[in-house]
Amino acid sequence: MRPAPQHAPWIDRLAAEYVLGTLRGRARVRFARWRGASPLVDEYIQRWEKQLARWALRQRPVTPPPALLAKIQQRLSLATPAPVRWAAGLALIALCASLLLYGPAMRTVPPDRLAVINNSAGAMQWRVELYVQRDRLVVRSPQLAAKPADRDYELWALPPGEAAVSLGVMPVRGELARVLSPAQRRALALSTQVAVSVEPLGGSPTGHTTGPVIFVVPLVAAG
Amino acid sequence: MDDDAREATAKSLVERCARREPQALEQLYKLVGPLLFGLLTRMLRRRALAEEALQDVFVRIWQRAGQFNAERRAALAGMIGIAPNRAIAQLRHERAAPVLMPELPDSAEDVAAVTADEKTSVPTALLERCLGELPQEAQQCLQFAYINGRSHQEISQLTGNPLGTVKSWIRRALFALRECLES
Repeated sequence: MRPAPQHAPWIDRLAAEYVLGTLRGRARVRFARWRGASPLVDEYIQRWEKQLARWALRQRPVTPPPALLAKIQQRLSLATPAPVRWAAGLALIALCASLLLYGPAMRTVPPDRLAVINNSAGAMQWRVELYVQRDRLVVRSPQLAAKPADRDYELWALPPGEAAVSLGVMPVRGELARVLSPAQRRALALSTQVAVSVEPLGGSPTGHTTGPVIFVVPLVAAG
Repeated sequence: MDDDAREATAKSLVERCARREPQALEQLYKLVGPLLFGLLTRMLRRRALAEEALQDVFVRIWQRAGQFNAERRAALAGMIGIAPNRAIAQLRHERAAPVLMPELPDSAEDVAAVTADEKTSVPTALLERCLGELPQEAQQCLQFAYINGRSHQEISQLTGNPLGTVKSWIRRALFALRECLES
């Protein structure tokens, strides 16, 4: 629905109540949906957000529990190679653990299987490494991958005769290590190929590929 | 770190999240996690609920980082804007299980005490002045709504004022506040 100019004061009032939090129930859901469809409504909301955020910024912060970050990373299938912990004790433990177990193992032990994805110029865009014993998948992107701002690249295992299984969103640059779920482990064990598709930001909302598949490459035993 | 510096840092970290750099999310969590967790704890009054909501907020930030970036949104305001949405959704799910032992103050006196305490923490002269120009009752209603996540109905019960009066105070106070802040 495209708002008419005479509706501006009404939209402004709804935007105010939306940002304040007093617009509730179905009215809130409808207004949020309208925001997604109308840049004008979004603009009104942003104007209120900007003003009221000054008040929010004055509020006393409360430190969240350290374990929460790991849960967020897990939900997003992110695992950083050298996790930084909040508390000093935990930091030490994490550092020791990563040095003893993860760091040398992942850097000196070759992967069990790998897939190399080259871009259209023939240069390596991603290197996908599978460490079976450690249930880890590492994706390295040595150079910046060009992509539309509103899309992500997603990696998929292709078990024969079965639906593709998501292995998470690909990094645009740098290195991303993931702990594999049992479903991902099984799918990778059966797969001889992996694929990359173009998906909405954050990855496919359905669990299946929704955008074009741009690469299908072999997943081979490493050297 | 002042608000401008924090905004600049947040913006740069959101840009890096849009490029899918996991370390940027970690840094962003350190920068704004305590602020957002404070807001969510006040709105939801139960730590466990606030923890769940904070996870949702950061998942949403990561998923929408590209959008923030492309639309040149104010990073901090946009992230703060996600918090009430998650809190309200959470409260809707929890309606069947009312809070019997609120972990945070909810009476007008307690909220006023918290406000007084917070007033000294991050002084912002303009905001202080603009809030100070509002009638006391209206300021209290805004506080209940925005900071404590209360509905019109709840504010009416908490302050003992009729629902219509509360709605009207809030509406007038909001526009007066914005006019003052933008003047």
